[in-house]
Amino acid sequence: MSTVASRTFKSTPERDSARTWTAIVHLLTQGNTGAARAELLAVAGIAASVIADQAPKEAAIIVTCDGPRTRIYCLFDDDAVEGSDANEDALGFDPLKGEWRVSLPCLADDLAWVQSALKKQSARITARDLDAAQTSTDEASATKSSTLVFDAKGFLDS
Amino acid sequence: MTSVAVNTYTHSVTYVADNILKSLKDIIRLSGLDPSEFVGDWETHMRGVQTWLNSGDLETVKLEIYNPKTDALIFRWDIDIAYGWSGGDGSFWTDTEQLKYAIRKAGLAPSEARYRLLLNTKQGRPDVAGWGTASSRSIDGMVRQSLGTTVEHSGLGASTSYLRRA
Repeated sequence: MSTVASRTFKSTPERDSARTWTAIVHLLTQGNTGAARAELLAVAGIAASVIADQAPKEAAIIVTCDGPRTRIYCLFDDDAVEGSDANEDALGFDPLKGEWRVSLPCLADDLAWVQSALKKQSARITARDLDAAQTSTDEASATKSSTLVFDAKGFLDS
Repeated sequence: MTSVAVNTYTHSVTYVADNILKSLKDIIRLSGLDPSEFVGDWETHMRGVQTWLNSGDLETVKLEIYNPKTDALIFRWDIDIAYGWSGGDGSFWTDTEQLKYAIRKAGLAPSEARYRLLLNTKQGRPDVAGWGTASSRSIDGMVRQSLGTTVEHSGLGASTSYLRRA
């Protein structure tokens, strides 16, 4: 059984799509510089475009590695301004441990050029059809995964 | 606890800037061209559009689609900024369907076509890293089609039109 952590970032208009990706990269790299951060920032424009299309509103950016899986969603419009559903807390594990991969949800109309542009920058960062991927990943996570939510009180009491 | 979302001018600038760039990406793709060069400079584009929206200096965002052999314009898409910001709980408005309809009507650009982004600003605007002065290509012999407002939040809006050969 794999474990899944979920985070939700405030995007436009609270922060623009490029800054949203930078914040996500900061979460994934835990503030560290290095090859992973450079690889994630190399696709910043493509990721910003996907975020501006609001693709990660319903379908997650999925991060897999040798440890737990991370699902990242974004809030837009009034939800982003109000922000009560946001959870941008640091993860309690390294989400890029070992062989990591990032899958970006993408509108079907944009998938071809996004996949082609990503391929030029990274073998680890790919894009998938927003609708198709949502169904398969949800089925997979429903049968194999448990969702983790950070328990701040329990952590502090331990 | 009841929360109330408070919209600021910064929110409007962020929303309008993001959706102007998204609209330009859609225009490039729907015109049959590859948007990857455009999104590769996303942060530079965003820095210019946001800075000059914030200062009130941005007048028009222009996307030139041109023939690289003759340097002549094939299409030009203009996004004019309207500074009517009023604050309050504005609704978020981006009309992608109208844009798609207009692009289909304008037709595809030849596959060899190139594109370039220009920002028209008022005199005396602050400098922004990555941006320098340039001249627009000639629009002689072109006719304009207007779409009206395509992006808007709390009165800060963007109206789109395109120029094509008569």
